[in-house]
Amino acid sequence: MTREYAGLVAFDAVVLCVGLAWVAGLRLADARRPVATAGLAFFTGWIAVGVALALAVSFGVDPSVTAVLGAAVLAGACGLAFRLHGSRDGPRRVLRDERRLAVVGAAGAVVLVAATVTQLLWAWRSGADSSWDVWSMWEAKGRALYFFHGYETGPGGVTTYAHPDYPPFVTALIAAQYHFMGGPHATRLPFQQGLLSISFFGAVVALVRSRVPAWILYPTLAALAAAPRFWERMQSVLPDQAVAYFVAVAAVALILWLDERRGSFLALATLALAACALAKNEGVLLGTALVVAFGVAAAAARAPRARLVAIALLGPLAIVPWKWWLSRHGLSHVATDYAWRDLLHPGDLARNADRLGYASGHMLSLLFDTHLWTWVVVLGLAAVALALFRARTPAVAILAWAVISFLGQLTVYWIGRLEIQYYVATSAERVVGTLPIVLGAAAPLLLALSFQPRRGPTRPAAMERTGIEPVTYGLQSRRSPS
Amino acid sequence: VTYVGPVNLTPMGAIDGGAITRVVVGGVVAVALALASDRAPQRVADAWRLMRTPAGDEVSRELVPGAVHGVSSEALLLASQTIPAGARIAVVVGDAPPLDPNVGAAARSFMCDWLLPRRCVSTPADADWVITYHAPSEGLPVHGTEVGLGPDANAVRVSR
Repeated sequence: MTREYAGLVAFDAVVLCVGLAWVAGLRLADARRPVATAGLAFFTGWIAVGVALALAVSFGVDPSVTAVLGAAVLAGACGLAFRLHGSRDGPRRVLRDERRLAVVGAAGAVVLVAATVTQLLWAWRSGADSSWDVWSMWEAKGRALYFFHGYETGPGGVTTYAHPDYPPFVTALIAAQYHFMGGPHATRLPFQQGLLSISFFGAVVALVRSRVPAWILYPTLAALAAAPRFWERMQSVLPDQAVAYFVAVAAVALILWLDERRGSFLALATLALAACALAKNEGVLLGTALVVAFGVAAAAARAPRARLVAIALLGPLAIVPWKWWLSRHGLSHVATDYAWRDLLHPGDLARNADRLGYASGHMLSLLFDTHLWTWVVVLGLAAVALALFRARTPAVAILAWAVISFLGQLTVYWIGRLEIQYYVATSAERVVGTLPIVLGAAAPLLLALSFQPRRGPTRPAAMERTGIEPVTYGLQSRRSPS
Repeated sequence: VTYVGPVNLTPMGAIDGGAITRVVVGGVVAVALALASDRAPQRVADAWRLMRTPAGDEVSRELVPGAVHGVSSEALLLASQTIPAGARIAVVVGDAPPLDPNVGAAARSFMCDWLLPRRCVSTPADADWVITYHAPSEGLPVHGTEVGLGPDANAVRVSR
């Protein structure tokens, strides 16, 4: 038992250290908010270590303690390297809080903490995750990876379980935690997911707090945390909610990049999108949709869209080594439940048109089901609508992502090979859950942006067009090192 | 002097976003806070109650997924004590006594998962050990020594 707990603490410490290296390298640390910064660091460390391990596993590496430490050193060094080449600007404080509304912010913060901490207590006391897909596939693959020291194709190996084409992010992290704990202690995995969920909120707070007043930020995030489906899934070992976190943080980072053009946000978004692609097959679709939506929005805003698309696309492309591993071992590297090439057969598509109606009806009813998501989707859409007046570019980008990802998932049901009632019943509720989480996480920033005064282009955009260097811009100027 | 960013000098409550925007954003935040607060007291009370009840032992918590799907924990524990690590196992699920098909599917999957690092194979002929669950071991295509794993479950060490 002692080894189990010590191993868990050691693993989380490694993750936190890697995250701190990234946060320091990207200059995202905020000394005034150590808790939120620690949340951002844990979240970033989790995805950085996960991506490094998933790539390592794709090259035949066993995610042992030694391999994890090696991957952590490499991942941390990558994060710190940004400090040498990135922007020298730290977090900016743009808006000050209104004191008379402090009680609203405090109330929201209390509810947010209550929702997340109570879920963490449940996760600590609960048994192993009993979801069918977890114990029959995700955890089982992690266990096989732990025992057989790599992705093995023989009897009992990872590829003998359902969906051998699913990418290795989650299984590699499970196996790594088992190595640290000295055994396959599945009861600890929900707690780890609970920590990831808390760190997700910490990450959003750390990224946007300097721009979003507390009275907007905490109540809106608390509404998301308290939504029944979100709350129940905070400890779920299923990767769906984690994928939604990754997309949401990438979306928030890209909104900030659109407004400030700091490369740090682009780097963080790319890392989150890589985690997204390596966690689930759908992650590639969701991540690519985000890059396309923000690429188009950046073009409309005359932002350097080529840089955005070129860098952010590296995230979804992180799946390539895994596809190569599948091909090398004679396994199908495309999803078995559907094939995008089926879109080239109009006759089949017409015959399956009824699947569209069935799936879209169920997806929409799940999205707007107040027993699952209360009014989070409506609140998120209201935030998008408000932002359209003052911050059109990010609002359009988020809306475009929501539409593209919804239609993309609907298309999967359209061309899917499983019987539609079964397919929808077993997956739709999890699949559509990404939308409320992304909308809920982006809502505080969009609401705050809807307050900002109409203004001309920000300094980087103006600089790109005119080449004129302003002497000062804003209140918080500081001397350059030279 | 380096660029820091656009800075608004006025506090959020009184900035020039327009009166309508202020009211609408305030309304959105009020709804969000109401929604979030609605369930918080119950969640805190439930968590407090949970912390005051004793947790189950570690092994039974590990076996929760099997128990939830109706798979015998006793059979799993005895199988893990009987069959050596690294052995090849096959799981044969039958219907005597009658078994819900969903439980049968869960039994096969959960045994293969929980008994790792024993390697699960699909046919008894390839296995070192065969676990029969709600199935008579006499009907197996292999022969060997039988060990009981509790009611309706046996393990057969295959003779070669």
